[in-house]
Parts: sequence; structure tokens; C-alpha cells
Amino acid sequence: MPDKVVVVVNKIGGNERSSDQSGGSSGGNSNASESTNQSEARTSRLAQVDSLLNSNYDDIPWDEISYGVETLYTAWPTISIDMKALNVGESDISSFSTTLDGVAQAVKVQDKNSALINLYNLYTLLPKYLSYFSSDETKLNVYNTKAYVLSSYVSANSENWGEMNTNVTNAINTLSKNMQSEKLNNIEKTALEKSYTLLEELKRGIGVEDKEIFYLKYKLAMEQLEIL
Amino acid sequence: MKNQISKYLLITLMIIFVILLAILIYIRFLGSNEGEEYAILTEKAEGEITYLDSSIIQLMNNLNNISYSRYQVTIKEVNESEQQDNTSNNSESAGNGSQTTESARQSSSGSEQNRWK
Repeated sequence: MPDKVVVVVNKIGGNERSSDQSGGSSGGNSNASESTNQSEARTSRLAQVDSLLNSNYDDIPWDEISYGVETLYTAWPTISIDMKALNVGESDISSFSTTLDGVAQAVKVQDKNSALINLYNLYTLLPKYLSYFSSDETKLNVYNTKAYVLSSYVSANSENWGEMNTNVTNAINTLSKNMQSEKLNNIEKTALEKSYTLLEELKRGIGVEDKEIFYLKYKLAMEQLEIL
Repeated sequence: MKNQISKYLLITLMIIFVILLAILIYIRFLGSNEGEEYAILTEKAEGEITYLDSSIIQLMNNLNNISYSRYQVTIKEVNESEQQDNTSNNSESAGNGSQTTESARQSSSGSEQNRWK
């Protein structure tokens, strides 16, 4: 729960609107706002997401993850038909289904490490698929960069710092190939430079050998890479 | 006689030329259609890969409670009794004039906070 709460009461139908602020003991920087709509009889609350530095990594939302896996199962048949039409190798297509089954099994028994490994294996198939029908090297490099970052993220679970360092170095090297591309416009160049800087930050973070700091830097780097 | 033969030959050649031209145009049209279909399919597949990319990353992030969003919205149903409490508090304060508006505000906000503890 946040230390400092900002409460807003909205009374629909009447003409009343009031607000108040109550400070907590430590006066933290997290804020929340709350509104009550009496005609709808429900209360909504806007709160800041917990900081990764103080997050509870063992409190995994398995229900949400199960739902996500089910959604992948629903989407895959249509996607596999399109991949077949684009001459993607039969073995590569079938290995997605096999790995997805592995993810489902890991989620079912709530095995975090196995779920991470299987999801990573699933991800590595994406640049493979793309290479069958796209000649866009820039895009392919971005997918491979993300795969390396995800590999280091998986290794973070077992705190294998050496492997994490190697993977992030590979990610930096792969992304740097795009830096030499002349096709990029100014906006794309800025986004790429930002991603590159964040990956270097991530590598520096590995040197600290602190899991929470790694996750914080991973989040920033990955968020930026998803824009590319 | 010779003139007539050359005339027939010319017409035959022209007909052959027109037929060949028609076949050529048809093949070209068919080819461009296939190319267009392939381009559409490629675009669709790229979109599907983007979808898989974000879905898989989101699932992996969820395993460590990592989210890109800065805020989260939670919605909670309000009990009828709590609503009635709020209503009575508000009506009391309204009856006491402007001086009690502040207390009404405090009690409302107090009860709201209690609900979230």
C-alpha cells in the first residue's frame, strides 16, 4: 500500500466534489487517487506500480500467465497456416507447438524457471520465422538483440552473471550492426542510440551483481527495444 | 493471286501477334496479382510475429512482476451500507452550513481510506 494517498470523491448526480490528502509516516513518493461513483456503486483507484527495487518477485500472477498462454494457443493455428504459406520449415513450425506445450506444463505446475526457459525457446523461433520471408536485416537484428537480452534475463533467475554478461555483450554487438545502416531517419537513429545506451547500462548493471538493479535496467532496455 | 496470299499472311500474322500480346498481358497480370498477394501475406505474418513477440515478452515479464505501465487502476464494488454511511454524513454536513463542509469532506475521505486498508 502506498504511504501517501490522495482521495477524490466524485458524487455523480449531486454537485459535490471534494478532495483530501493524508500523509503517511514516511511521506513516500507514491501517489494514489480514488473516486467513488455512487450511481454505478463502484470505486476506482489509480495507484503507482510497485518499484522493482522493492518488488516481491515470488508473488507471481499465475492466473494471468495461464490466460496469456491460452491466448497464444488460440492464435497459433492461424499464424501457423500463414507461416506454412510463406514456406517456413515444417520442423520450425512444429517446434513452436511443442515448446508451447512445455510452457503450459511449466505454468500448470507453477515452475518459474522452466516457464522462463520454455518461453525463451519460444521467442528464439521468431527471428527464425522472419528470416524465411523477410530480407530486412535491421528488423532481424532487433529480434536477435531482444533474444540475447531475454537469454540474460533467464540467466538472472539463477544469478549466472558470467552468462548474463556474455549475452548482453552479444546483444550490444548485434544492435551495433544497425547503427551503421544508412536507411535510418533521424527519429529511428535517436531511438537506436537510446537502446544502445540502455544496453550498455544493462551490461554495467551486471557488474554490480544485484538482481533487482538488473531487472530495473532490463525493463528500461526492453521497453526501448520494443519501440524499434 | 500473289497479292491475296500476302494479304492473308499479314492478317494471320496480325492475329497471332494479338493473341501473343493478350497472353503476355494475362501472364503479367497474374504474376503481379501473386506478387501483391505475397506482399500482403508477408505484411500479415510480420504483424503476427510482432504480436507473438510482445505476448511472449509480457509473459516472461509477468514471471517477475515486471510491467511497463507506471500506474494501475483497480475497481472495487462499493457496499450499500458504506454508500448509505457516506450519504448520511454528507446530508448532515450539508445541514450544518458551510462550517461543516470540511468535516464532511474529512469523514468521506476517511471512510474511503478505511476501505483500502
